[in-house]
Amino acid sequence: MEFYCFHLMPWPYLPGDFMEKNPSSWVTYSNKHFDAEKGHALYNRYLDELEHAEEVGFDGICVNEHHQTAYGLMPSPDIIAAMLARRTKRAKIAILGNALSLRDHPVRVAEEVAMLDVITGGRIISGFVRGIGLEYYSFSLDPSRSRDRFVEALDFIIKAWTEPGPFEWHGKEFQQRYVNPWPRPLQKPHPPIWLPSTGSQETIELCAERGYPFIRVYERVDVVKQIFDNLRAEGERIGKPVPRENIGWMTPIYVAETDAKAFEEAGKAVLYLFRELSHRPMEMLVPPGYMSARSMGFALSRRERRQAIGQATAEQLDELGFCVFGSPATVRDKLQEHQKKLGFGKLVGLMQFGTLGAEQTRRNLDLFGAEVMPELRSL
Amino acid sequence: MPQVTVNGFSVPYQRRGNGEPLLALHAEDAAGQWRPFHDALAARLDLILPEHPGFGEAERPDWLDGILDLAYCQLEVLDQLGLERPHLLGESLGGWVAAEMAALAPERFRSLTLIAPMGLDVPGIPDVFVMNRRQWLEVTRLEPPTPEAEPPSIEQLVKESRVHATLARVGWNPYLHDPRLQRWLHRAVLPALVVWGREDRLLPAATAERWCELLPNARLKLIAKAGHFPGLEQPQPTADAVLGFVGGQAH
Repeated sequence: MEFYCFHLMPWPYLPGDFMEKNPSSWVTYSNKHFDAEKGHALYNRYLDELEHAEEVGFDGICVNEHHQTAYGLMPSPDIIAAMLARRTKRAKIAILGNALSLRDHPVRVAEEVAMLDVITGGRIISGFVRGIGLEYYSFSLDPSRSRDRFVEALDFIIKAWTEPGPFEWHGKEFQQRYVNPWPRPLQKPHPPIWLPSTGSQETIELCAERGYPFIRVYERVDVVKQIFDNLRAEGERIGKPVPRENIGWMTPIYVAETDAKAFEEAGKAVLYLFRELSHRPMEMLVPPGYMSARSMGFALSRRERRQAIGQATAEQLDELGFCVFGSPATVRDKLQEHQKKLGFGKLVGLMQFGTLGAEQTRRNLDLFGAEVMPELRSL
Repeated sequence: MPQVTVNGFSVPYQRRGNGEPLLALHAEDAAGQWRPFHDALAARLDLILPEHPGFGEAERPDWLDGILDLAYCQLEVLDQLGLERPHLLGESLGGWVAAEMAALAPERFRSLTLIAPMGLDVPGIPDVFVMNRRQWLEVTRLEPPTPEAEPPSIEQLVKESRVHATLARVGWNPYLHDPRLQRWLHRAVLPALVVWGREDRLLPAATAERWCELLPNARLKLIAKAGHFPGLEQPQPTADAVLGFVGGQAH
């Protein structure tokens, strides 16, 4: 099993009555509430946490991209990755991922990721995403173009990394007379590409066909199982069985001395992630054209089960598999059980979430690294 | 339903009535719907009601990239049906398409009727792309119908989503307008009638005045007790206004 430490860099200072007074923590929640002094401390603390994850033994550290939201403060994942590049020495740096569809032009992404790969001596994992539905409001970008832009940008970047330039690109979404980015990546043929996804049929097919690791962000374990089973079935169908190292599961994890202490110390923090930070209208989460008809049918069939989580307690969330909390022994057992059920080969732990403070996060990382990770390595 | 094929896409259309031909272009949420408003028009006219690609039952064709594709498509419907200088009418999205067609080929039409058309850059239009079904009805209808007791089926939602996706394709950004249209609308020299519901909460009444300024030969008719869809909420008064105008343009 490979272990990755993920960070969302959330804004933890939403007021207690936030949910009643605001329709969303995304897109429209005024940035007048962003306090730059607090932001200064937060960014530096969060970067320390990712750097510490390398020290406790994680194989990789992960950053991502979201816009105009308190949910996460990393509109540019490449900037955060660049800072980690020089402060870490061993761990992979996984960008999960660059939101390709939102970029004016994919050549910029090809350049930035190649720079990072060269500077780190080949430690970059290049995740690509479309950006969630809300980003299409933040960018006034037509969501019905999202899938086409994503796939075309992905193909563009791979070609830019692997074929000597200059060459011409005449696509539907992007045109460029001279494609010839300097530098080119150090890893050959190119940095590993991962696709974090909510599990649309199109992404599942793309991962199975091209052998990209598929990463599923926190969700009920039974739904995750359904999605991973879809992925494996698709691999079988096309004669390219999906190996377990190409299946990744991302979940909030919290380890404390005892089960009771885990919930006591981190219960509220994880609820803040699933309530305040996930507070957004359904209409903006799935804008018109963002999802294909076939993926939408599947997503809609899950909608009621999803809505229920807004009311759940931390214990219930843990029970459903939205997070994994407990003593080192409990967390080991639960992860073993989830692994057996889901068959993933990459565990992406969200070791800081919501309002979880610096001290708890550090202890979580230490305990996980010392008492959970070693025993699960051989899984 | 009869069909004509445009760029490989089958465009269904309905046609009823006798008289001078009137090509009527439907609103964003009304593909395939023959309403009392259409009956009232067909009582005196040969009414042709084609669908816009991507707004009906069939998947959006790959070539549909913006509002001009809808305009060219309907110009080709006109060619294929061999319609000789029909009157042209459009409601909301259909009005936007009709205005584009009138600017592109004013000589092809005898008159132009625009009923609360989208298509101009007017500040203050609410964001239709964040609205749920209920909010859409509240903003477009004078008296929103009471919601269904049962939530819509997944099939219904998927179908609506396809229509919304096509609307996004033509109107997400620039938002429900074409910056070129206002530069070229002066070409639409044909007689024009702009019809507006007095209680339109989607496109403010000031929009109607803007249309009348930009169209060289337009007059305005306001319909009382109507929201964004006067043809739906006041079918007879709206049809009377159209028939009166169209009758005056006959040869």
